[in-house]
Amino acid sequence: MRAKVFFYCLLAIGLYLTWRLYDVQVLQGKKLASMALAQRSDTVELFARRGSITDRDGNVLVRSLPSESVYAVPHDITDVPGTIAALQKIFGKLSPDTVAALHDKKLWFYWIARKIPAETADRLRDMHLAGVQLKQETTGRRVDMVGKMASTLIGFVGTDENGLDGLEYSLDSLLRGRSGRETLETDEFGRPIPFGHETIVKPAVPGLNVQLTIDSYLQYVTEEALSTQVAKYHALDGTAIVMDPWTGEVLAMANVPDFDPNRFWKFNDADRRDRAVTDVYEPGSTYKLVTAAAALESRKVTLQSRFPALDALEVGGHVIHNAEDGMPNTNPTETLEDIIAYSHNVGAAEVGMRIGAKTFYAMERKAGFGSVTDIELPGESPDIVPPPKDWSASSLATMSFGQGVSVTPLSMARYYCAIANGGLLMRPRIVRAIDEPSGQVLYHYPPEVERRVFSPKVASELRQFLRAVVVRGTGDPAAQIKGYTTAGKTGTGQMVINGVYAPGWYAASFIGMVPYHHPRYVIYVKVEHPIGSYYGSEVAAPAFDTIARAAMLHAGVLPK
Amino acid sequence: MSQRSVARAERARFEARESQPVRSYVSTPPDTMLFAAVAALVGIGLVMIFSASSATAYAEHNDVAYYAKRQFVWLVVGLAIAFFAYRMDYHKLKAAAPYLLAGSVLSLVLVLVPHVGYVVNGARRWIGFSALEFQPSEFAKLSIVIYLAAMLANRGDRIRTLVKGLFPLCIPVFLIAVLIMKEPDMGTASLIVMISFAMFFAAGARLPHLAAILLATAPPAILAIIASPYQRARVFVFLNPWKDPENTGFHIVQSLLAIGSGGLFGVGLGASRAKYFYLPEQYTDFIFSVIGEELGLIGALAVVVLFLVFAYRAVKVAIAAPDRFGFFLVIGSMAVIVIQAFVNIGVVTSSWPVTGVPLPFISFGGSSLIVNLIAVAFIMNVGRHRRVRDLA
Repeated sequence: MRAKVFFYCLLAIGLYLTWRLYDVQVLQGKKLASMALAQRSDTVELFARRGSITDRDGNVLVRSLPSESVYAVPHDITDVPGTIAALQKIFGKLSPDTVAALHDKKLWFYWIARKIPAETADRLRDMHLAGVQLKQETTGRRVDMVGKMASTLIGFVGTDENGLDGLEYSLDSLLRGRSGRETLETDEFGRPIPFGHETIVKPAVPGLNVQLTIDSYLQYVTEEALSTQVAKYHALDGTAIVMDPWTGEVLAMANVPDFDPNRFWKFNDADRRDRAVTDVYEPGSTYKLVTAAAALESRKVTLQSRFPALDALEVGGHVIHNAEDGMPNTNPTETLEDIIAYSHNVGAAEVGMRIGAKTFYAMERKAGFGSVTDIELPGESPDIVPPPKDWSASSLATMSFGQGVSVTPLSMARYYCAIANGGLLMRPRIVRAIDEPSGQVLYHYPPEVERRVFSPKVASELRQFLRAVVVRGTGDPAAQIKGYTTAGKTGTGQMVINGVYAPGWYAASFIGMVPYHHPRYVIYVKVEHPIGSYYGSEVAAPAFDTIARAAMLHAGVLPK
Repeated sequence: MSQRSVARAERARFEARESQPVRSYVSTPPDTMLFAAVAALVGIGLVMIFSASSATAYAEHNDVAYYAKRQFVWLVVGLAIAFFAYRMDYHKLKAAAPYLLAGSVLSLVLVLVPHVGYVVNGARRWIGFSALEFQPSEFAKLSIVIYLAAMLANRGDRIRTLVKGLFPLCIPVFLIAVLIMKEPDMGTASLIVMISFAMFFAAGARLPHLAAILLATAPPAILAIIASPYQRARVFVFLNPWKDPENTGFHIVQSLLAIGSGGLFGVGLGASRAKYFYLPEQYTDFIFSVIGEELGLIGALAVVVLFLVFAYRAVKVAIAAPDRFGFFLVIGSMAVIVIQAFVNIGVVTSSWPVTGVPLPFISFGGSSLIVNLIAVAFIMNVGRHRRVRDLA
């Protein structure tokens, strides 16, 4: 019967299909399964958090957050004007390029915004715009929590969180995390399959946290005091440094102008420089302490030695005058202390010539001038301290009062730390510790002594000179603070623009310490090209006062 | 007696039997095994549609059960219609056969008219609007079965002759097949031919005749295939899908990857990976690949066996049918389901050229499910009837 034959035909086909299934599922099953796995396995980069930068108390200055970027698939946008309107509600006015790209139906990819805040990403997600997608980034979004504060110090990062300037640049290898890799099962469009298996091939390694020596409070006070003086004298720029003379730690480092790392591209290069280390200047009278140290340490001059008090002196065909900011002569002769206190250039030149080039240059080098300090900040400029063989006939005389040498503010501050701490040249520190991402301290930088510059006795004598400046010299009464004892030196250096002295351009500075006995803080203030006055006592000393008072109160020392 | 007079006598006896009144049949209980096989297939279908379509449903409609729910609604509608088809007197179909065929031809012509029939995936297959849309080609399968059953019942042994018996019956078959090819829907068109030839074969047509007709119609079909490089590649790709796995071989390669991943016991219900947009048509034409992946060789074979059980019980019902119309109606209805099922499984296992046909009872799709349930209802309807003489 044909109906039965028909069934047997179907049975035969069924058996053939059974064989086919057995062949595909059992005989070739393993091979096909591994091919299918290879097809749906996707390796993705895992986000590695860049380390935070904190102040000495652990307050976060800069941190990274996981971030997302927005891109458009213009091909998939259904309602172009509506999408543009919605995007403008979030991102503000879109650039003409972006608008044109969104209209381009042939385009499959266009970045709208990189690394947007999480709230913005959530808002965008809730709008469900066709053709607008979010992508998780493997590097985070760098957020400077304190805006412009310490900006020239911290620097900034590029789109991929690569450090481009400041500590972000110099400590990049520590801060940078290493993104990991993960293999996971994804669908045809690369999205992870729910319940799919995931294998971490290489875990993401977050970057290390860096703890700075900066004290946020002092940093703030320093920036405020400095910018007040810069603004008051319509100055070009300014730099201020607060250091702990006993450890060499930089507690505050301020520059005017500065910038906002969150919007670094809106500022020009000059605003983003850390002038405290990248720029050298002629220190002027503050450098007389190097001459004095050389004189005392070499014992060629004692506290009792007297020098003729002249208004002018001809050296090597070059006439040296006492500067305008010095105080007039009252006696026919003067001691080293008088020369410092009244800031007499002629006197300093006489001292210099008495001790000789070799002694003076040896002290300059011993005091750390002429080399970099090796602080962790990038772009440190070496001081320009020429050796005696390059000097002219008048060089020794002018260098004795700080003309003809160029140093960085940090070198200067470090030298005054040696005066404050009894003669030890400390290595300046900006990084206090490196912490694990968990918060555990990985390495704590100990104070590092470079060398002894002069004996404690000479140090105490130099401090005595600095005290005299404040009590009866150029710093009286500008650098006196009610309730605290201070010591310091005023300076007025001529500015060199394009290799020649610019007439009328001065760098007014004051370097001081507080309290006079056993100083806690060395405070450096410099204001460049002030208008109205260029005396260190008038332009820079008021900032010193403000910072010194705030620092002492911050340390819990009440005024007496 | 001469041979001619014997034939005449047989014909007289045959016609006398065909014209017996309805009263000569009695009701018997329905075939439970056949029903159970169908119920199992429909159940597997609902579960597998839910599993295979969940990712797409979630992505497109935000509801993982979107397609499963719709299929359930179609099932309810289909059962209602099938119940009617089961309870009616199937002999009424015999009288209605020419009109059903004419209706099918008309709707197949209508579907080709722009704005009446509409296009999905490049083929003009659907007619109607919103919830009332259907595929005329699906219903054409039923009407050709009913028509051929009616014709073969009257024709008797004349089917063994070529000119007077077999050839006239081939005309409506090829008319419908050509109309369906125009959509284009090669799969359903070839099914129409295969179902019809299965019925001719069951009716006793001579094999050389069937072969001759196939050979005569083959050249235009082969020419049509060879003329278009796309069709040629598509038809022959099953021989070696790995030659072009990204393009023409894509569907088959993805299907093999899915089925092969299943192994002996499968990756587990709901755990298919292929359904995440790798496997195209994963809840319609390629749903069997997901069954193979999730339930393994065991699950895939269960489906094959259920179709064979169905075929076996249907043949039993056909042999016991009270009249020739019932016999052919059962054979044709069974062929509609089982041939299509084996073609579908053949395609996804790379054993047969790619022709987009759904897996009966299991693939997502309302028209297909309803038509298949009606076909089952016809078989069970015939199965309810026994000749009084046989029972005595």
